[in-house]
Amino acid sequence: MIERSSQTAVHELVSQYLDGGLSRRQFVKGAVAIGLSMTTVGALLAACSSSSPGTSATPKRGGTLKEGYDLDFSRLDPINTNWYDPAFYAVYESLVTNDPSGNYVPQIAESWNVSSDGLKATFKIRSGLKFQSGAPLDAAAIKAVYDGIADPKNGSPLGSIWVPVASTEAPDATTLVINLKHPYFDLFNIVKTGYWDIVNMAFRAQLGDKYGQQGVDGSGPFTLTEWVPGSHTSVKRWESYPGTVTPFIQNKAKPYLDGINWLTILDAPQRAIQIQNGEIDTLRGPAFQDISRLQSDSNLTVTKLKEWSGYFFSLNFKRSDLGFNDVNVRQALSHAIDRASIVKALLFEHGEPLYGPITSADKSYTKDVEQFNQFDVTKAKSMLGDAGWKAGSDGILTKNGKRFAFEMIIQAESFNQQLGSVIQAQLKTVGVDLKVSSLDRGTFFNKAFANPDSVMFFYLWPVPIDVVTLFVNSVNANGKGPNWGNAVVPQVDAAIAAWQSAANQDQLIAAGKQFQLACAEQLPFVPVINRDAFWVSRKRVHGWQPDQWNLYPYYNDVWLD
Amino acid sequence: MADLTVIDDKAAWEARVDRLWAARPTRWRDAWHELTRNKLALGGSVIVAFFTLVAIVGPALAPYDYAKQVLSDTLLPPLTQGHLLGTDALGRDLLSRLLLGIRISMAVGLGTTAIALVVGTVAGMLAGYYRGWVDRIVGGFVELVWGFPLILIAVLLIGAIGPGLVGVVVAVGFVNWAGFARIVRGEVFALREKEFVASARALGKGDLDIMIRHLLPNVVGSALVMGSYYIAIAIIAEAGLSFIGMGAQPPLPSLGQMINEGSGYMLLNHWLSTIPGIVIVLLVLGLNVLGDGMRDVLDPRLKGTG
Amino acid sequence: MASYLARRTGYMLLILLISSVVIFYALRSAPGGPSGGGVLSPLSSQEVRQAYEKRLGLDQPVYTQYFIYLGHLARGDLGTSLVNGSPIVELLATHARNSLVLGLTALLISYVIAIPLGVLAAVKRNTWIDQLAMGGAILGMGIPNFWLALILVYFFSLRLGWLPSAGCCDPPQLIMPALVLAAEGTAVTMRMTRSSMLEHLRDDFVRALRAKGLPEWEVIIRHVLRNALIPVISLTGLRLGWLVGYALIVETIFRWPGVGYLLVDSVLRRDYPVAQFFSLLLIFFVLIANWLADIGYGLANPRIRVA
Repeated sequence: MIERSSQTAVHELVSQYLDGGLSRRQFVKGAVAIGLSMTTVGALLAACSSSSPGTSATPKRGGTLKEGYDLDFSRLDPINTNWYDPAFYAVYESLVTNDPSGNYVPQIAESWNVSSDGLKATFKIRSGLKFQSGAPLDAAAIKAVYDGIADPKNGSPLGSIWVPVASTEAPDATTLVINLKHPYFDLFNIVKTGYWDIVNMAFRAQLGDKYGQQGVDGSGPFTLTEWVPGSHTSVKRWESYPGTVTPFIQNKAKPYLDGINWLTILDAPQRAIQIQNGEIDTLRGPAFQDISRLQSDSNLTVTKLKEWSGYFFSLNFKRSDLGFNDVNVRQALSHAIDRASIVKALLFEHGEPLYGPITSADKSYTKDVEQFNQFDVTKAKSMLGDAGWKAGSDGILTKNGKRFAFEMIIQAESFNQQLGSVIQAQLKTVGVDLKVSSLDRGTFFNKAFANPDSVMFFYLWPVPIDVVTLFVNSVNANGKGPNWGNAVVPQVDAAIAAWQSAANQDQLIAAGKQFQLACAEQLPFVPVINRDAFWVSRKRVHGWQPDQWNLYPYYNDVWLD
Repeated sequence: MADLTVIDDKAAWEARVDRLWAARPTRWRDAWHELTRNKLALGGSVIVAFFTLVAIVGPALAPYDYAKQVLSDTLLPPLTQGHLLGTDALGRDLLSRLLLGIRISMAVGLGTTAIALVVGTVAGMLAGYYRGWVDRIVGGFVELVWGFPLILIAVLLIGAIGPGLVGVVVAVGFVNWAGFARIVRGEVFALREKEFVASARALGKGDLDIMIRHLLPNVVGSALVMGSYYIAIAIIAEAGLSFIGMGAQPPLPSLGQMINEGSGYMLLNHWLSTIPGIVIVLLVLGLNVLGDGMRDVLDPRLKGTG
Repeated sequence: MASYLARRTGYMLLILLISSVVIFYALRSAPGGPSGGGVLSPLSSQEVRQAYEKRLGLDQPVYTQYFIYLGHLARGDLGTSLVNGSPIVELLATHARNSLVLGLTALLISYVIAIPLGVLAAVKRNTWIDQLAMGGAILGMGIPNFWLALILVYFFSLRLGWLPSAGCCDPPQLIMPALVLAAEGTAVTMRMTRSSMLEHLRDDFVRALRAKGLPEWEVIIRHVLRNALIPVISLTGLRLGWLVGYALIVETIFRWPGVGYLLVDSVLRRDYPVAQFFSLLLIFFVLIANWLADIGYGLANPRIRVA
C-alpha cells in the first residue's frame, strides 16, 4: 500500500498526466521517483486510459444513479438469498475483496496471514468499524456471521462449501481466526463473495424472516431505502460511512452519490430502449440481439467481460429406464448438442460453448475438457444404438417398447425458452423426444427438488468450482441440495474432496483440473454454453467500472456529470 | 377482453327481446338472404372464411417444417432466400409457423368458445327459466367467475395439468361461459313471460320440451352473435397468456406465442412480432365485424346502431 | 326497496365469503409454494423448506389456516407479504393508488374521446365520419393490448424518444399505459354511445322538441345525450371492476406497480397473503360494481326486482 504522504504526490502526478502536462514517460519516471513499484504504475496508467474523457474533472457530489438490471431482486440477506444482486455491493462489505486484476485486497480485514501448515488463517480486522445501525463491527460480529452460515438452522444453502472450516475464533476485537480441518486454499475465494458478506447477526435475528426484506444492517457505503419485488431496490448514502481502505477504490471517504436506484427490467428490448433514451444511467445484461445497436450508440460505453457461469441441464440418474445412469447415454445426448451454433444464433457470438463444468473465465479452467462433448451426431446415434435404442416408426428411439421421451423443466424466461427449444430440436435429430415445460418461479424449484427428469439451469456466482460442486456433489442428491439429477459419481466426489483440501496453489489447480475432467467425462450434468457479461453506461457516469473478478461494480467512486 | 357492451342494460334487453319476438316469423327464413346483402356481415364472413381456410389447409401447404431450425439462417428479413416472411431467431420459417399459428389460435378460440357457449347457454337458460334460487346460484357463479382473476385460474390449471394449450382453453372457457349465461338468462327471463310459452305450458308440455323447442331457437341467435365476439376474445386471451409464458409450449406456435417470441427482437427484426400481430388484428376484426353483421341480420331493427 | 337492498347486500356478502374459500383453497392447491424459490432460497434443502412452512403454519390443514386467516381479518390484520415483509395495508396504499391513477386516467381518456365521437357518429350517421369512427372502434376492440403496447413503445420511445418506455410514477410515464388501457374501453364506449344516441334520436320527444323549434345542437346535447348517457354511465360500474383485471398485462408490460402487477407477481411467487387478499379485493370490486348497477336499476325501475 502507498504511504499517506506519497499519496498526495501520486494524486498530483496523476492529475498532471491527465491534464496533458506530463508525457507517459515523464509520468512513469516521476512515479518511480516517489517510490511506486512498476506494477502500481501500470495499474495507474491503465486506470487513467480506461477512464472516459472528463474524468480529470473533480468528481461531483450528489445525484441518484439509475441502474437497469436484467433479473428480479431477491432479499438482501447474504445467508439466505436466492442470489446476490448489485445492491449487495452497496450495502455490505466482505472480509476481503478482489481488485480489478483478481488479487485479494483488504476490505473489512486490513491484513491477514495463513499459518505454514495451512490450517489457520488469521485476519486483522479494521478497528472502530460499525454497522449502519451503530452496532460495533468487530471480530466477534464476523465470527457470528460465519458461525451462522455453518449452522444448518439458518438454512444457508451453501453449507456444504463451508465444510472444511472447523471453527472460527475472535480472541480480541481486531483478530479473527479461521481454523481449518485441512488446508483449504480456496478460502479467500469463498469469503469474498456476497454470501459471506458481513451482516449484523443480532439485528438479523431480531427481524427474523423479514431481514433483508424490510431492513438490512451491513457496513457498506449505502443504506437500504426500500425493496419492491419485481420493481426496484433503492439505497441512499450512509452519512456515517467510515470510508474504505480497499486500495483500488480511489474515493476513500463517503460515496459521491446521494443514492442508487436499481430497476428490474425483464423485457429485453426495454433495457436497450431505456438506456438509449437516458431513462437509466447504467445497465447490466442487455439482450445479445441488441448489443451491436448499443455499441454503435455514441452516448454509451459498452463493457464486455467473461461470465463465470454457464447453462447446463441435468439428467436424472434415477431414470435408469432411459439409461441416464449410464455414462454412455449421457455422453450420447451431449454429443447431439451443437454448442457452437447455439453460441452463434442465440448469443450472437458473445459467449462460448461449454464442454466442462466451468467457464474459461476461471483461472483454473483447463482446455482438456474440450476433448469431451463435441458435436457429433453420428457418434451420438451409434452410442445410443450400442445402448440398445432403435428408431421407431416415428423416428423416436425405442427400447423394450419404451420410447425415449422425457421432460425438461425450465424457468419461464425468454432466453431459457429459446435454449430449451434448441436443445429439444437437436435431441430430436438423434431420435429423442424432449418435452420442454416452462414453469413460474413458485413452481420451478419445487419441481426441481421433486425428482424431475431434467432441469435446465443457469447459476450466477463468481466462484465457479465451489458453486458447481453444489450441483454435482452426491451429498446434495435426493432432495438434500441442488443435485437435482441425483448424480452419484465417485470420480466427481473424489475431485471435490481433493479441491476442498488443497493446501496450496498447485494442489488447488491440480484438483480443479481433476474436477473439470471428471465432470466433463462423467456428465453429472450436461454443460451447454457460457455467455459473456455485458455492462452499459451513459457518458455522464464516471467511476463505474465493472470488472472480471467482482460480480458487480463497487459504487464508492461513482459520480454523475 | 372485449365484452358484452351493447347489451348490458337490462331495460334495453327487454326491449330487444320484444323486437326479436316480433321479428320471429321471418327471421330465419331471411337470414341467409340478409347475410349476403349486409356488407358488414359479408366483409366479416370473407375475412373469417379466409382465415378458416388458412387454418384448415395452410399447415399442409407450408413450405417448411414449422419446428425445423436452421441456426445458421436466423432472423432473415421477409422476402429472402426462399422465406417469404423471413425466419425467426432460431432460423425457423416464419410463414410456416404463422400458418400453423393461425390454426392453433383459431382452434383455441373455437374450443374455448364451444365450451363457454354450451355451459353458458345451459346455465343461463336454467336460471332464466326457473328463476328463484336456481337463478341466484347461477348468478352467484357468474359474479364469482366474472371477478375471478384469469391469471389465478390459469396458474391453478397450468399447475395441475402442466403448461400448454389445454390449460389455456379450459381457463379461458371457464371465465367466458359467464358472458353467455348472462345473455341467455336475460333473454329467457323475458321470453318466459311471452304468450307462446304460457300456451305451450297450458298444453301440458314439460319444462325440458319448452326449453329445447321454444326457448333455445330464440336464444341461439344471440348466443351465436356472442360466440363470434367471444372467439375473438379467446384468441386475444390466449395471446395474453402466451405472452406471459403460459400458453403454447415450444416448439408449437400460436399467434400470441409468436408475438411473445418476436417481441424480444423488436429492435433487430420487428417483423417477427408485427406480422403475427397484424394477423391477430385482422382475425379479430373479421370476427367482430361478422358479429356485428350477424346481429344486424338477426335483429334488423338494430341495424347500424352499434 | 329496503328489503331488496338488504337481500342484495346479503347475497353479495355470501358470494364474497364463498369466493374467499375458493381462492384460499385454490391458491394452496396450486403446485409449488412460497418455499419454492419465490421467497426462500431456491437451493435450500427440503428440511429448511419444511421448517419454513411449519413456521408459517402452512403444514396445518387448509381449513384451519382459513379460519386463522379469517380471525386475523376480523381483527383488522391483513397480514404481510412473504416476499418482502411489507404489511399488506402498505401495499394496498401504494399499489391501489397507482392502479386507481392509471385506471381513472384511462377511463377519463376513453370518455373524453369516445363520447364526443360517438355522438358525432350518431348524428352524422352513415357519413364518412361515422364510418371512420366505427372503423376505429372495431380496430380498437381488435388490437391485443400487449401488442399495442409494443407498437407504441417502438414509435414513441424508440423512434421518436418522446415518452419513457416504462416505469412509475411520473406523469410522462403514465401516458402510454393509460392509452393502452383506454384503447379497448374507448372503442366499446364509442359504440355504446352511438347506438344509445341512435335509439333516443328516434324518440317521440325528440321530434316534439324539434317541432318546438329548438336548435338542433341543443336538442342533441341537452336532451338526447342526457338520456343516451345513462346506459353508458351505468356501464362504467361494470367496466370499473373489469378494468382492474384488464390492467394486469398493461401494468406488467409498463412496469407500473399497481394491483394487477402485484397480483400476477404474488400468484407466481406463491406469496399467499398478498395473492389471496388482492384476488378477494378484485372480486369485491366487481361485486360492488354489480351491486351498484343493480341497486341503480332497482331505483330507476321499480318493476325490476331481480336478484
